[in-house]
Amino acid sequence: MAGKDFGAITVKKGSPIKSAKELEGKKVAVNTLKNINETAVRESVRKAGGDPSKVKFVELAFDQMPAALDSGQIDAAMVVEPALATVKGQGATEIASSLVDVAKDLTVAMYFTSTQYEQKNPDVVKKFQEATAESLAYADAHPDEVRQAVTTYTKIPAATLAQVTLPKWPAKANRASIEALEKLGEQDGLFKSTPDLDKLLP
Amino acid sequence: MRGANAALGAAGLAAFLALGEAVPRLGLVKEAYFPPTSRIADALGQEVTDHAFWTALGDTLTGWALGLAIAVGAGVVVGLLVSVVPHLREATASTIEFLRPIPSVALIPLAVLLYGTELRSVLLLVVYASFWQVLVQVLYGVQDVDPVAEETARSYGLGPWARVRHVLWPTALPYVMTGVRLAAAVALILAVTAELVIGAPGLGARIAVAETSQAVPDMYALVVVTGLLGLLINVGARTVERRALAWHQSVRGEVMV
Repeated sequence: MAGKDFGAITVKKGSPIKSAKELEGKKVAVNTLKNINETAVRESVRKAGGDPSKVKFVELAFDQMPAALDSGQIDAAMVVEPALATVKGQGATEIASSLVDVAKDLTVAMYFTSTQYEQKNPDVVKKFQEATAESLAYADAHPDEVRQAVTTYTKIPAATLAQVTLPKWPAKANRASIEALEKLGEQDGLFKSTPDLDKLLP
Repeated sequence: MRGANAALGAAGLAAFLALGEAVPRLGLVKEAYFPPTSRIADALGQEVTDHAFWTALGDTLTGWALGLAIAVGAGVVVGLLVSVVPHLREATASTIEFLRPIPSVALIPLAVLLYGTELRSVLLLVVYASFWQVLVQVLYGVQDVDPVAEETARSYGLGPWARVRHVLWPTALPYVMTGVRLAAAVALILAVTAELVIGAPGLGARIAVAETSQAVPDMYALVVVTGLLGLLINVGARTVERRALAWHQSVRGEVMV
């Protein structure tokens, strides 16, 4: 299943690659090696019936992926917004929504604090949690205002911004999705010792 | 002669700008990644109407000026001290030669660990890079003191301070000025680099935001601004140099005997 997520594996317009399985032996760009995006691409390849160990991963900043994909330096790019909108504007095709392949409604980012800080400033942490929960719920309910707010601290051109697929802003971590990600990370040998979710999650 | 040179310079610049317009328009490079001059100029026009742009420019200039001032002050004081105190030059030479070639950008992780993403991080990199430029010039300058002049000053009973003031400093000043001019350019490079990589507020950070925002013409417009800034700084440094050395042969332009 591809499309309608804020991140995707994309291939250049007219590329012979039609599915994640065909990425075997191909050069795929991720923003950081061994991070959530590489893990997600591996899962997409696996789900499509391919062997992820045969994919050649290269590290490239998101904003440089459109040019690299366009000039043929890479065969596919795991790209997120707003570079995804640029890539699509060049006629590129999404072949997999990798973050969705990991888990439905995957939690991709969270705020963390140290145990020490939390013990010293329980009030601040509690208020921060409440405030972010409120703002996330508001953002989820008002996508148009989000697009407006984005213009105040980025320089995304209006034409690109209109095409950007916004993410979801859940106020609570989706534990099942993080467990799925953890399992994949373990499988790919990313951890020396498997993280203890009970300690990490609220 | 002067008018002709200025005209040639203007013509060269115009040709360069026209080339920048023509190359993407002719499809030799992709417009999406290398916009023609006119679109960069448009973006620049938009930039200068944005209040945040001027704040960023101010932040960059603050980092540059503070860093340069600290580096020049420290470079001159340390340079004179190292030259004047007996044996200190020999004792420090190997350390200086070891520290000097360390690229300032290699200290970025250290700067981030110590100061995070604020002005002090920028200052650390700027001062480290420009300090050596000044220090080394001061050391060379002091070495250049004419022994006869030095002996004459001693014979006339000039004390150590008076010799520094009337013999050493005038000899070293042209070198110091060269050091300051080099340091001024290096300081700008490091200020922008620090902002770009660390994300400290300033033009560099704004370039990074434009880049990640897929706002290509804006990014080039900001790059042009940093170029103009470098140009102004160099012209300014040369003017200061000429004023400070108005008495010196190299500026008076008289035939040397």
